[in-house]
Amino acid sequence: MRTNRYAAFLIVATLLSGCGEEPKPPATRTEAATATPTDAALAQVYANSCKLCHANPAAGAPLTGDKKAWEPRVLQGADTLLDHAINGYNGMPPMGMCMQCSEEEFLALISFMSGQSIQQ
Amino acid sequence: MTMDLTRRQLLQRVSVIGAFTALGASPALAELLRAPRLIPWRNWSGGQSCLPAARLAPKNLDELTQVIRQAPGKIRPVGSAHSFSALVPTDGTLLSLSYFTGLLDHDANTVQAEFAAGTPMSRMGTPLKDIGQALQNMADIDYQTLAGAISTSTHGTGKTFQSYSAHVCGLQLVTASGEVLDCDGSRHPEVFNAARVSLGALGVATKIRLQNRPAYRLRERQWIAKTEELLEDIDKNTQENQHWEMLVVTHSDYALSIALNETTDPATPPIPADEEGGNEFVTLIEKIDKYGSDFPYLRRTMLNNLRHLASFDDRVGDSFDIYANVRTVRFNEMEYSVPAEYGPACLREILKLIQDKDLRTWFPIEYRYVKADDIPLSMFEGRDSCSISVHQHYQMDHHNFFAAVEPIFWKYNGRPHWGKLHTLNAKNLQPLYPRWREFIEVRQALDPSGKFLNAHLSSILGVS
Repeated sequence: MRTNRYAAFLIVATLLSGCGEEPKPPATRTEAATATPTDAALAQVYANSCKLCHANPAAGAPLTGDKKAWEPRVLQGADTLLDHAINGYNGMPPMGMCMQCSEEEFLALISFMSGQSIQQ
Repeated sequence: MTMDLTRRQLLQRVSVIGAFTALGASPALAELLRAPRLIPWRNWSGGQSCLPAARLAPKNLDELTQVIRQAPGKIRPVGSAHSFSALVPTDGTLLSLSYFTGLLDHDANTVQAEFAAGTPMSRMGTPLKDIGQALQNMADIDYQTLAGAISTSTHGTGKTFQSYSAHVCGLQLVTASGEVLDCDGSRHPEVFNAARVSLGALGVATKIRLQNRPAYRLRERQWIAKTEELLEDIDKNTQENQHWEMLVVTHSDYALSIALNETTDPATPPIPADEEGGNEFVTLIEKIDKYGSDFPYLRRTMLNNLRHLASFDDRVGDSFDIYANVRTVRFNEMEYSVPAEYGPACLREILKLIQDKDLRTWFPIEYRYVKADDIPLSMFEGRDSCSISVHQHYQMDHHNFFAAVEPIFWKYNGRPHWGKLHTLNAKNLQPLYPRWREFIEVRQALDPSGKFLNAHLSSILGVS
């Protein structure tokens, strides 16, 4: 997807803050774009919510299938992950664009994206 | 420490304990304890919230009509929750169209396409390109669903380009009675006209047909200039560029000027993901504000000198890739559309206020143009407009800043964006909209009991 128009200023930001120097794993971008849950219903929910950011490197969210990026988040535990999904956290919008998701569905989606089984 | 209880108090407490003990073995209580907790709903910025009794996502039209007929209380449709105003909150039923997505139909001769109403705008570009079509213009955020964008007259920029709503040429609406209305210019034309900007108050749109154009590419050119110079050249900037806007850096003298124009040039390579997003930019500006706000002159000097470090490469790509941006930093927003000719004066007054009062804000102000349309509740009804948006980081209090700026918009006869924060009610809004009654009458006819109203809608539409 898209380049932010603020990107012009990112040059400045990068120079001054040193941000943006961490390499992104090159294979993850493709994996994130093509990965989809095997459960058809969950796949449809994923495509219209989580995928919009978690398959887009520019969004800054941990990419689907990027276990390294997900690891520190998973270590925080199911309750924290669920809280961030429901109430939002930094760039993560509340509900993660899924307005009807239950706690179980949120956990199933997080499990799929992180590649690890997350249970309460 | 001892606790003295009267005989009556003692008996009351024993009876309560007994009741809980008895209920503990009750299947009903066990079921209750197993019941999932109510999940609060919040919008994208987190500034709006509610605790709906039900959050439902019907899978097809039959399920949707059943929900609407049987819901016991209020119903509010929700898209991607990107409205900053309180259009959605309800303690009744929150209705998502997340299963109503995708391209449904298209016509190559008329260059029209029909989408399910819950389709995210970010998922429309590629399917449209595959059939040789594209939206005529797009906003700089594509998180919205199609229904949400249409309902609030969401728009991009360009003096000869109208909002998304103006390109709707047909839609399907499920009304409060569960009736399914197919509307266009000849079928239920009064409903169609009102429903092109409905705030979700007329029913639930399920399908939307759009008048598109052949697919195209855009060239993006960006440059930094003094805000005052850009305003002095406003006619040149807006006439020589199909889509022009600027992002004014508050507490500085400069703005980022952005021009998009159609091109047949080949696409440029994608820029690295690390340079996309915007987090780094806003983090930098935020830091300058954080450490420099006590030293306004120093802050202005630092912000003004950022321009020396920036350089810009033109970018060419499919229209939908160039228009839209990722927003990784959340914010709250207020936007008013003033008559186009008042735009420069209105912006100058806002910037003067921010400087004179040293108002706490660091998000850029967005300055855009939109062509007039003929939709009763459109912000652009009957007048070419200049849309000016002020933002505040979602963790910073926006009330004082927005309250200070809002009267300036009123002074210039501004109409608030329906999906963004404002403090007007029906008494203030009605005089701004010459065709107000048309909408009010359609709403009253379709939903006399107010099934689709919440407190905010009752206030802005004047329904008790």
